[in-house]
Amino acid sequence: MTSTDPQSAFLSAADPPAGGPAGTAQPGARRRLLRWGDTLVGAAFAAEGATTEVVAGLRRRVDRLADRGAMERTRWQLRAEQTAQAAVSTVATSSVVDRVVDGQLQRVLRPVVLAVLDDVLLLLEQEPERIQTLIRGQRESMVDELVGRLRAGAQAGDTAVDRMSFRVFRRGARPEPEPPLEL
Amino acid sequence: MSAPAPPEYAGPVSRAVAYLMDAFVVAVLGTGAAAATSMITSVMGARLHDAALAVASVCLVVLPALLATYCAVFWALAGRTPGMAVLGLRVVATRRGRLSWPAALLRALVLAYFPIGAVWALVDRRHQGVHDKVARTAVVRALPAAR
Repeated sequence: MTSTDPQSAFLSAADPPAGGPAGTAQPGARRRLLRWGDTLVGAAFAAEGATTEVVAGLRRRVDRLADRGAMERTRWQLRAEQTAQAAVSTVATSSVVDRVVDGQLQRVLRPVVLAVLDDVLLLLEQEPERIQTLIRGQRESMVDELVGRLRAGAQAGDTAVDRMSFRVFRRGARPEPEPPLEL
Repeated sequence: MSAPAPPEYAGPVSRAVAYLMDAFVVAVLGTGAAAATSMITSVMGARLHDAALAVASVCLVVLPALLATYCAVFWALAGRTPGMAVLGLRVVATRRGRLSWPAALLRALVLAYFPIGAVWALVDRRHQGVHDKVARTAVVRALPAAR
């Protein structure tokens, strides 16, 4: 049997001839064995490639399904919000609800407000100095603050002008005059 | 309890601010009176332009007199004008106990018709202007009232 396979040629060159009929039959068996081994390895790689393609296809399909699911979820969420808003608007603008709310307000809130207002007015009538003191204190504090700022600014200006004029027109220590007789 | 600080003479800035406030009040009053006079004269038949000119020229003479009267009355009665009250100032006599009516009127007239004399307060030791020297007065900071 003549073989052009390089592997077979390599094996033929590497293995020394054993001589005799048994020695000539052994290389043929080994070559067949190697062929079967190579076939098995090729089948394993082919199976791996096919499996990879199947898995990739499955993954793409799963991704498409996930995208579609997200889109549907967003759409249904939006639709649910619109429905809820429409329901709330319908309920809020309903004449029946208006009548119910008005009735409750008239029944509960108005007496409470009137009672509290009466109490407050009675308290102010009995103790007017509380609110008067509050208002007067607020007004006086604002006016006092404004006047205080004005006076402080004018006094600072006095000091600055005094210092400048003393520097220009006088020398030596500054004399402090006595206060007027009235004071 | 610490003793109150001695009164001090008011400086030119405080006095100028108080004076400007008083002058503003008097100017507003004078302008209102002039506008009312102008309207009355226009209604009575005089031409509006001539009436306005006459009122403006009268204001130039009357306004200082109005300011002098305003200041003299307040100084003699209360020792301070409203503007000085805001700034916490008071006019006091340097020799006698209380500011008299003649002194207040003299001080007001000198200040109204010779306002340049107030510049002397810049260099005076007691911050007295010419009107203070003539009327023998001074301006001090009023002590804050005890509450």
